[in-house]
Amino acid sequence: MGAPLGFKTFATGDVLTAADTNGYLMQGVWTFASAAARDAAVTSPQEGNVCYLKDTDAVMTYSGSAWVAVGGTSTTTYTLINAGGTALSGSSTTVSGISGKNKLFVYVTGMSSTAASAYCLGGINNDFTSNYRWFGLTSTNGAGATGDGTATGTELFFGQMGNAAADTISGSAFIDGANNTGIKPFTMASRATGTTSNDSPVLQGFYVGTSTVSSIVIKTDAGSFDAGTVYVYGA
Amino acid sequence: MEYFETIYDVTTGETTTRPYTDAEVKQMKAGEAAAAIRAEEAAAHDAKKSVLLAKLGITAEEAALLLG
Repeated sequence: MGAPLGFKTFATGDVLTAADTNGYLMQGVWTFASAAARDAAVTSPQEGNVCYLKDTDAVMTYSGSAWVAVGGTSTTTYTLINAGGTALSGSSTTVSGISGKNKLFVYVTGMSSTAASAYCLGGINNDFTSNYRWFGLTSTNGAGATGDGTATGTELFFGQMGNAAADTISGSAFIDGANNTGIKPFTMASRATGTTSNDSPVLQGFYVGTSTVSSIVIKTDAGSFDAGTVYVYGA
Repeated sequence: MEYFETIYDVTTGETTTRPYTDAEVKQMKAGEAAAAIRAEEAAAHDAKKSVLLAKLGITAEEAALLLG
C-alpha cells in the first residue's frame, strides 16, 4: 500500500495517477473484520495508514513498525449475549457460541445444588484443568475473610454452597482478553447465603489457555442444579 | 442419579443435553463424597459451637460481639 501523501486538491483535467490514487484517494480509514484480515490485505503498511477493526472496535494507525491503537480508551458497551439468561440445570450448564467478544461479564444468581456444601465452579471453554491462577480472600459463613489462592487452579471458583436446602450462591466474574490468544485476566466475587459450611470468595487472577473464549460453563461438583440462572454479557 | 450437561447455543438459540461420560460420573461421585465430608465437618463444628455457647450461657450474636 502507498504511503499517505497528505491532501491534494485536484484540478479539472488533472491526470489521476496510480501514485495519486494510492497516496491520496486510498488513504481513508480501512475497515476490516479483524487484525488477521487486515494483515492479509495490507502486507506492506506504511507510516500513517489508518484502519478500523470490527471485532475489537479499535481504530489503529501504523507507526512505521507496528499497528498502534488510537487513544487507548474507548467506550465499552456490554450487551446480554444469552437473552433472558440461561437456567442452570443438570450438573453443568454451558453457554456456547459466544465468540467475538473481548470482554465478558458472567453473572450467576441464586445457584443451588441438590447436594449440601457443593462447589459452584465456572469454566472457560469447558476447561477444568490447571489453567487458572488466582489469589484473593474467602469469607466462610460470612465471617472475616482469610487468604485464598492457587497457582494451579482448575476453575473460576464461585464458592461453596451452605449445607441448608435453601442456601444459594450468587456472584460474577469479569474476563478480559476473551477474543485474543493471550492470557485472560479475571476478577470475581460471590456471596453464599446461609450460616454453615459456605464460602464466599473475592478473587483476581488469569486464565492461561490460548484459545479465544467461545463458551462459559457453570457447574457443580456434587449433585445437580435445582435453582439458578447464568447471564453472560459481552463487549 | 443421572448426570448431564445442558448446553445453550446463543447462535442458534437451541438447548441440548449431553449425558456425562463415565469419567465425569466418577468425578461427580468423588465430588459428592468430598461435599458430604465438608457438610459433616460443618455440622460437627456447629454442634461444638452450640455446646460451648451453652457452657458460656451466651448467644451466638453475643459471642460475635465479644470477638468483634
